[in-house]
Amino acid sequence: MSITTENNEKMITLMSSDGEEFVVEEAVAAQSQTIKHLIEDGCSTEGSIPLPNVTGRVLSEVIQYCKKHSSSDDKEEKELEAWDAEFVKAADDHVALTDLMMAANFLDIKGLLDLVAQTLANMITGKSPEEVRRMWNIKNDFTPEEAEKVRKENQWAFE
Amino acid sequence: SINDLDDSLLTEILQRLPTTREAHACKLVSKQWYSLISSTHFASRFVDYHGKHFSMEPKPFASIFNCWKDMGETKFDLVHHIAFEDRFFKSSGFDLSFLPCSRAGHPEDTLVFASYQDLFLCCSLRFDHRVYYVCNPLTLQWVALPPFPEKYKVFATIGLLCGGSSFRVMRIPDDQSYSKSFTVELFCSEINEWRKEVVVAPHKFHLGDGLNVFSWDGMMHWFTKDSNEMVAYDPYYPDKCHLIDLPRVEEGLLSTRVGGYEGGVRLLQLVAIGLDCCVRIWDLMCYEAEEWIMAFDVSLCPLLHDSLVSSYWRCSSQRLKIQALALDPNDQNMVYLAYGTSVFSCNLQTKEVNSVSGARLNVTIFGSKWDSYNVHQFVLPWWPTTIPELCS
Repeated sequence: MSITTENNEKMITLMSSDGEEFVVEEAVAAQSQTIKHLIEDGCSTEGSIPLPNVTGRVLSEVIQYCKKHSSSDDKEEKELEAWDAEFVKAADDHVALTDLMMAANFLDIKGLLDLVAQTLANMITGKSPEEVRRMWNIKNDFTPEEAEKVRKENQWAFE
Repeated sequence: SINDLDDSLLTEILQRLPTTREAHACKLVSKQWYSLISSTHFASRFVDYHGKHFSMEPKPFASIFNCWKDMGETKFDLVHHIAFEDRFFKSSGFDLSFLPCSRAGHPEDTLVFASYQDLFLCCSLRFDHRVYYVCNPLTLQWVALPPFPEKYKVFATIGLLCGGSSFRVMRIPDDQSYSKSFTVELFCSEINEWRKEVVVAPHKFHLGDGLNVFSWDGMMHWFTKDSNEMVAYDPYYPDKCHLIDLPRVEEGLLSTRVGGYEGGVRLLQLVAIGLDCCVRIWDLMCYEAEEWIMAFDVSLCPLLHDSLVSSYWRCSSQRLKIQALALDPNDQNMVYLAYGTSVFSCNLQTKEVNSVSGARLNVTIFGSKWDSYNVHQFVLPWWPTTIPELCS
């Protein structure tokens, strides 16, 4: 539904996969290229924009990010970086981060995707393959022989 | 969770790993990660990302030295050294024992004769095993070249150059007379064959023998016998070459080396002037114009006080034994010099001189013991180079 606030900001409603509705300023929602295109294509004039891939919990985080980034200008870069760091810290476990990453990808929010991808990459850095698996519950689907072969092939990377 | 991410999102994460080494180690996490990281698509994404975001971060590089004493037609004494030992090179990467020509317990048999970025051209010194191998010492990938047409000669002038989907090996087995043209044997990977090519130079010159070839930016470079000119040869246009006059030094030239930095070719000259010694760096502006622009002319003497080499330096008779080793491909201000067994780096901008820790020159490679030495650089790109396949 399209409504307008007192200071003439156009508002739009986003609906998560689990039916939760979020009313946000259009400028905030347009941080997402996907939503921006939907608005441009006139998909928001009738009712709200459904986002079938994003749950309410994740969407509220995404909106938090978009709000911060649409209200800050370039001068506040340092402050914004600090805010970003706190933001990903809050979503500390990797499941929350990967959910956020998938949402950022679906909604096409480049800054958020970069931020989360870098956070996840930092989590791997300096860890052994065994530690990475344990940290993220990744199943080791190599047979011992295959693992040995991979290790040999890339011996230099393990020294 | 992570397991739900598709390859494109996993790529977004893994391309941000700080080093090639970290990325390769992650191949062991799972089969999905293995095939993703092994793909050429991932390699190009990693290179793109790091080229854009970390271009200031130095990449490891090393130099390999071959030194020899000529003891007649077939006899020689030869040592293989690695200097500028980054932590990175403490790996088995520089152990060439993975090549089929190497024998257990005889690492000195197999030598590097040419290099291009992170690829080496190697050959065994044993009489029964004279095949050239192109190999990547990190990924342990190698290919064996078919036998070359001319008779074997250890110190032929040999160059390697990789042009994306194919590579070239150039070999000049003989000293050739003062002439406008010379013959090379050229191996082309896409036809898997050695060919003889006649190369025509702009004017007569004396080619020389057993020269150190430096491949950079699509060209092979080496000095002519009198060291007054540099040959620049593109093996993909095999019938011609450039001859470029080197900047003249009236007297006192101690040594000259060619190197590269960010796509350009540079020259390092060491010149003795009275009791001092100058380091001069020249940038080659363009092959056609043959124009060198001086980037640095730095007097070494004032820099050496309080440094590790100053004790040598005070002895004036030793002063002329300093040698130019290499130009740093990642830092345009940095050159490497050798004195006796020590290798030191010299930053021409900040005027800092430091001994290179871990540099393994465990014999005096210069001076009376050895007649000559070649330097082969190993420069790690953002992603290890895959050796183009030979056509079967």
